[in-house]
Amino acid sequence: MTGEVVPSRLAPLSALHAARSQGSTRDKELDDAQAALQLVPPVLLRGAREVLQRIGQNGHGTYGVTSTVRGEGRTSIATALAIAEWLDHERRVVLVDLDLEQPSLHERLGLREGPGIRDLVQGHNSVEDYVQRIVGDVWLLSAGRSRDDAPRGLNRLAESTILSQLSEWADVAVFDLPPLLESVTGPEAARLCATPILVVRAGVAPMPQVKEAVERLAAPPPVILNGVRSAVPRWLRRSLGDTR
Amino acid sequence: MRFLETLFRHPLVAILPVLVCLLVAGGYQASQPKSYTSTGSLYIDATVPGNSPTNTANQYVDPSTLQQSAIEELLTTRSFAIAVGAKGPLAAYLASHPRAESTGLAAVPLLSNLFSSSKGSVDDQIANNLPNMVTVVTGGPQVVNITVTAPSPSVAAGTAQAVIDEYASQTTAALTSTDQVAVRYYDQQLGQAEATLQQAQQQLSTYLAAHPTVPATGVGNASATELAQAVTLDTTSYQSVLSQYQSAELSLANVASQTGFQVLDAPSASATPVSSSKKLLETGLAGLVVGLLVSVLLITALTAADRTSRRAEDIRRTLGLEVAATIGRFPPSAAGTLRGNEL
Repeated sequence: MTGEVVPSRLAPLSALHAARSQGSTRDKELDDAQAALQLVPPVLLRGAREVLQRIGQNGHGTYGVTSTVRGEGRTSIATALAIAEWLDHERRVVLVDLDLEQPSLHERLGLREGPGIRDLVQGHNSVEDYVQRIVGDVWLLSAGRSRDDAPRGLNRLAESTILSQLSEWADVAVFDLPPLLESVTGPEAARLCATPILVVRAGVAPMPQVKEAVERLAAPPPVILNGVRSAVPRWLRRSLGDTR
Repeated sequence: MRFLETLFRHPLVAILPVLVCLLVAGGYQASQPKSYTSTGSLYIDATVPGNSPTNTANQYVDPSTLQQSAIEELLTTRSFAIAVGAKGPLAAYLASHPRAESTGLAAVPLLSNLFSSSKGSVDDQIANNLPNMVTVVTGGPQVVNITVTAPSPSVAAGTAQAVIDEYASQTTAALTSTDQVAVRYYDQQLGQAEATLQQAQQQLSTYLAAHPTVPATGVGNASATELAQAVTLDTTSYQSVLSQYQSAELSLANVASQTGFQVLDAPSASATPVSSSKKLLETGLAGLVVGLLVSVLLITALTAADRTSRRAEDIRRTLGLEVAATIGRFPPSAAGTLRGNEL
């Protein structure tokens, strides 16, 4: 191992690239970190780290990522939050697909549809038997294959011990929640997590709808503005005093 | 900033109206028929009483300005315009070219239907278009230039000559009317003076016949002297009225030479059409301005219609919430298994 650079999971991306370019022997950790970095684009990971820094939760916690309507980037941001928690803090993270009406997280991550939450709430099984490993210590609890209707599934989840099991088993649980206005279970699902985060994609949902979505939450949520890109040339923005 | 965002997000909305308006303006100008001008110059005689500045309320008005105003005023009247059309080749030209109008609107069928008067009679067309075809400007204190723009050189020259002729005719008619009234008045006065004189002469003759001793001059006889003086007075009066009558008759006879102007340069037909570059520039500028206005209106409407959030300020202002993070857009290919943040 002498002379080899084996960066830890906390090492910056450049160190990982440096290690790779020097042809060093890859260990499991390095492979996992590389795989995790390939799962989310750097800009998304930066945004997730920024949010985590702002929220300021250390150790155990449950985040829920929701939005006003579909197509605002909930799933991508939930995945990025999970990856950031594991990469930066070495926490065991479970990513939970709570969008029981239109589950897509497993598909996005290239994993099996089930068994998942819908199957879990019908039996007395342990959470450990239902999670699938995404990368490193990041795990997926998919929505599952059961055809049970979403509100009933959610009610059973709320009444079960699954959430407490998740808290015990993982350091952090990140919920991919259904949208607040386009899903009947949106507001109810948001109540199951300690910190619901609202994703607003630039140019998608009209502000009155976003306002209505915020009002359906118990408390004002942290907001992530996603997909922001100014069409105005940078030189013009600078000349108008916009330095961002 | 939102306006600029919309502008740069929809560049076609900003560019297309300008291009379309420029194309329409260019097409309109290119489809205009060639036009020719012809100019006639008049010399205004300041010695003619009607042209004298002292006869006007404003003594600083030039004789040429007086005539210019008079011609322009006449051009706005239907009878004058129709008379000009009939005297010159304009009426015949419009009759043989039903859709040809000096405004050129006929070149664009839609515009022609909307704005032109080609559906009316030839007289209507002349009355509507002649004021736009003729330009009257002063060339100095005593020179007036009349320029006519028309679709052919002969029509331009003929119409310019017709304007001058008709103006002369109108002036002559006005003077003739005045002189005829004077002649009639003095004729009546002359008749009365003649009758008075004859009566006085008759009374003197009767008195002398009754008194043969009294000399014809009435010297030595008070009554005869009084009658003789009356005859002398009536004779003087008669001669005075006769003189004025003759003067009025002379004025009536020479009315054609008292129009107050002479034609310095008769209108001639020029084979060179009017340069269209200035018109093209003007039409292009108008098209550009209209296009820009349409673009600004469209972008403003789009900006007002966009009620989504674009910037962190929108969230802060509308919801009163702080934005924890702003994530820029990235291409779907930037993600591995994830297909970007499209979902």
